[in-house]
Amino acid sequence: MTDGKWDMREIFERVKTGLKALGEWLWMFVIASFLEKRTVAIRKEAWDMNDNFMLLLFGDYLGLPNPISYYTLELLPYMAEEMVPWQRRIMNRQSVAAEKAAQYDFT
Amino acid sequence: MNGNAGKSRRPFTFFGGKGGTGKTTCATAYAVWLASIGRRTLLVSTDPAHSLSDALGVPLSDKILPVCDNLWGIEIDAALEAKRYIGDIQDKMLSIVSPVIVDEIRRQMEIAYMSPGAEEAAIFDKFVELMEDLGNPWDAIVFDTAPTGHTLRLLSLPEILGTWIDNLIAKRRKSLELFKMAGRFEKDLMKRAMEDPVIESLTRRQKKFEKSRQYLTDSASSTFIFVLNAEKMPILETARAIELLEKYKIPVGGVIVNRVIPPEAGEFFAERLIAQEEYLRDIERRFGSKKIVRLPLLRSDVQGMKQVNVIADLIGEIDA
Repeated sequence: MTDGKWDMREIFERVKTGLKALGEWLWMFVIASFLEKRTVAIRKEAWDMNDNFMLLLFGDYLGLPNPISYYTLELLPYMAEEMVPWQRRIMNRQSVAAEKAAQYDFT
Repeated sequence: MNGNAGKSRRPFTFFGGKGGTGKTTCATAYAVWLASIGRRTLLVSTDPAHSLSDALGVPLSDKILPVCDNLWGIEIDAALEAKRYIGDIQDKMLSIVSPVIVDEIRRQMEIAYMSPGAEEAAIFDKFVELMEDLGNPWDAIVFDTAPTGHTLRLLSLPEILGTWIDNLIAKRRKSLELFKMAGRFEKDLMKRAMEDPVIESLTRRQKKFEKSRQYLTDSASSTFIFVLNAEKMPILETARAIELLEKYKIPVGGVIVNRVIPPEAGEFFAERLIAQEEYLRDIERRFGSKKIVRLPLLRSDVQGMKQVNVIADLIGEIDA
């Protein structure tokens, strides 16, 4: 009787770990194939928009006239960290179309 | 002295017009008149040539100095104001980011300092600062502005820049929204989206522009007075300028026709007098809806307090 009880408990534990592993695996699967893919696209979009925002603020450093460059200067302390990489990125753009296409999964 | 203090409760008066028409003299005389009817008046000049000191015969600087009873004066130095503004930003930058980065983007700061419009913006900021400081202790401010083109650009700033800033804020919001969405599994990204000093700073600017637009477009708080001569070019330029100001809804209170040749001027002026008649009629026709004040050509140029007092009462008519 005691043996049977013990067995039951072990089976229960095993099933539990098995289910847990399966659940974890499923969750990873969902993240990797749906959520993560989606966030990557959103993250890319977010950074792109951030770059565009920088362009609106500091476009005059690239030669684009900006009527409020005097006032956008006061945002420079907050954006300074991104300034140099942004300039490098924006000056090295090869193909805007290819960049955009890379966001979508064509495979 | 008509002691007509009730009519001129308006706190801000701008004097503008083509270069050389006598803006500074008229602005000075008006300020002296305001002071003489008991209003505590601040006279502000943006002229880098320091002509206000010359008109008053009293040295002025970029600090507010008393001139006489009820009258204070200041000469805004645009380059100095811009330098101060950029210096503040540089200090702030040093406290936020590493010196290495500050060094790398020093060039950017120099570009902003040299950019067209930097001095106008600096002057504009100072104007707004003075306007906000009203009642401390002056209750009227007379602005002697730069020649027409600059002034118009200056006063249209809040209208144009306001729209620009609105768009910037909208763009930033959208971008932060995306960061929030993308940052669900990433702490750094989330943090970035939640605390944003950029929107805060932009909103502060936006509020400032809105406030100055209110000051400028409310006829109970400010008015614009043009100084011109009875000659063709000043008339045309004034007409254009008034049209533009009205487009930006900045109230134009009146025009002062300066250096009107009196009939007793003598034979040398006979022909000019005839031409002047025609131009004066033209002025009546064009600006008839506004208050027009004529100042006669005097025997000598107006310089120093004593002579300013002579025309002060005549200028005061603009408020009658």
